[in-house]
Amino acid sequence: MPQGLSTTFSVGQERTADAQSAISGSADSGPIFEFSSESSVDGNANPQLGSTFSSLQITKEPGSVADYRDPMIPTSATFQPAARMLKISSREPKLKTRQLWEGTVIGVRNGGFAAVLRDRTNPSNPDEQGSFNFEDTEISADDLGLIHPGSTFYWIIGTEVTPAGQVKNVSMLQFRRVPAWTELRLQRNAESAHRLRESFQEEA
Amino acid sequence: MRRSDPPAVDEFEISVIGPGRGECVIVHLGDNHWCVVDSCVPRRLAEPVAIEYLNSFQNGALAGVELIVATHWHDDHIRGLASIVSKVPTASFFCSNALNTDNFFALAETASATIQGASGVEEFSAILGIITDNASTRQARRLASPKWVVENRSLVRSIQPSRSFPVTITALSPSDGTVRRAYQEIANLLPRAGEAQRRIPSISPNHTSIVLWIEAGPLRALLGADLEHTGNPGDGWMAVVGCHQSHRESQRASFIKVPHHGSANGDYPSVWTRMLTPDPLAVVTPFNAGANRLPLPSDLERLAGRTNNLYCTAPGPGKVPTRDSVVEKTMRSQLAGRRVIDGQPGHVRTRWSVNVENPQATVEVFHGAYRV
Repeated sequence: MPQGLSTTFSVGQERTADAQSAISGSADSGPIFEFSSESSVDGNANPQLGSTFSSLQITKEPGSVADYRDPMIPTSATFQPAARMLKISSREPKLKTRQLWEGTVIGVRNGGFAAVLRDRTNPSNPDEQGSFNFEDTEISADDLGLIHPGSTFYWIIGTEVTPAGQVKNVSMLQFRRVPAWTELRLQRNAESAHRLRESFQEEA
Repeated sequence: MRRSDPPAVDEFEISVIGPGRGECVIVHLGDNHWCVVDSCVPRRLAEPVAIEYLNSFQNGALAGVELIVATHWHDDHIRGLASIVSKVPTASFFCSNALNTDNFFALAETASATIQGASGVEEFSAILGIITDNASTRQARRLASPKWVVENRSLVRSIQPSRSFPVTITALSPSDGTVRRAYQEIANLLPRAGEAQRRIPSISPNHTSIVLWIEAGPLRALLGADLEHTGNPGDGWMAVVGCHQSHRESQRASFIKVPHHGSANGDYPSVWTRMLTPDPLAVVTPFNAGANRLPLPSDLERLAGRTNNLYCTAPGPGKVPTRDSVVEKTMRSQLAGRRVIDGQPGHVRTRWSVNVENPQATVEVFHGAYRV
């Protein structure tokens, strides 16, 4: 395409103040998506496009056939990926822990489980027993398979501050991942246990 | 009397302490000799209640502990027992013969290797470790070895004239049949390759519990542990009553530590008619950590129908702690149910002056314990 016939519309660079504040870093340095048009206009920013197209760039080559084309119809458009639109912050949400428990599952039933909860925020508080329903509790799908009698988890209640500055209360259960028993380890345990028991038996 | 006043040398004492999760029975055998049955460590106490109580006398009572009994290895009965074993290395350690298997030792080895936190098996593993560490010689190991208990085993027989009164302690359970069955049940708890290294849950059967029969001079006491009535003549309370009928039919106890926190499945009516005097002193300890709190109101009603001298060591679960409003609100939205499972270590203390005509019990309650 001849350089002189190109028209580039940069769209979406005007943002509200709120949206602008939510955007950080270099993410606001470019348009969200761009139009390209093989057209030539009379040098005025087309008012019908409104202020959105504030960075309209026009290259005019007088007397060319392009003068007769409708300048409003872009002949091509380059859309940047939506991901770029979401890439508005490099900041992570901040979590302030208000309360932390260490829980041990003591029983699993249909639809939930019971656990002993030890207060790690204020250890002088008594242990409590709580019943959780799966449908009311925020447990990741990955963690569901970890829920067995004897499993331990952390329960965090806190306040999350999003990059946009929004504050919300959160509750998270995170089950501890533990290694699996191996044949070798169990065999060693069994041998050690046998030796210990025999030592008592021989002398008793 | 103050709680910290020690018994006289010729006083027989049974102290039952139960904070709502776990229990501990402390028995004065005369002349500052003691027996500790099970253990618990209530919140806000750094040490087991037995150590706290015996040290409160400031007369060397802790060093006078002759025997330590683990009736079974549930978390709520064994917590802190390793600490007592550690502090009194001269005491004999007794536990159920159901644990005298390679499988249970392997379970203890497994528990000590897991990264999941304390459990009853871990406590047992710690006890074995302490015994091993304390017994560097063959002779020491022989003396320190756990004493394996089956029905009719004599734990103590102190009849020396130098003692203020004669004392015998005999186990009435577990029966041989129970022990054999328990072996398989324990084997089923062993982890298998590929399974996560989880905490070992306390799901062993209560019917392996050690029930004790204590004779102190003319007095008799029955400590029921967590033994349940299974309906099987070969184990549970039916086996105990059978054992009692065979060996000491005419004897009746005037004190009972009510089995299994007063639950209906721990109650066998023949115990009250064949092993106990009318209106015996009965002490029940609550248990708040299970599916249902024990004893239920119906349990207390049933027990109160059996004796007019029923005591409970704690009034029920303690008050739920108050946290900030956001935490409380979130807890309410997340939990279908919630309760505190341990509170103050309530204490029922019974003392008898043994060497008097017709000894009468003096019952005192401390820290929230009450007469039902």
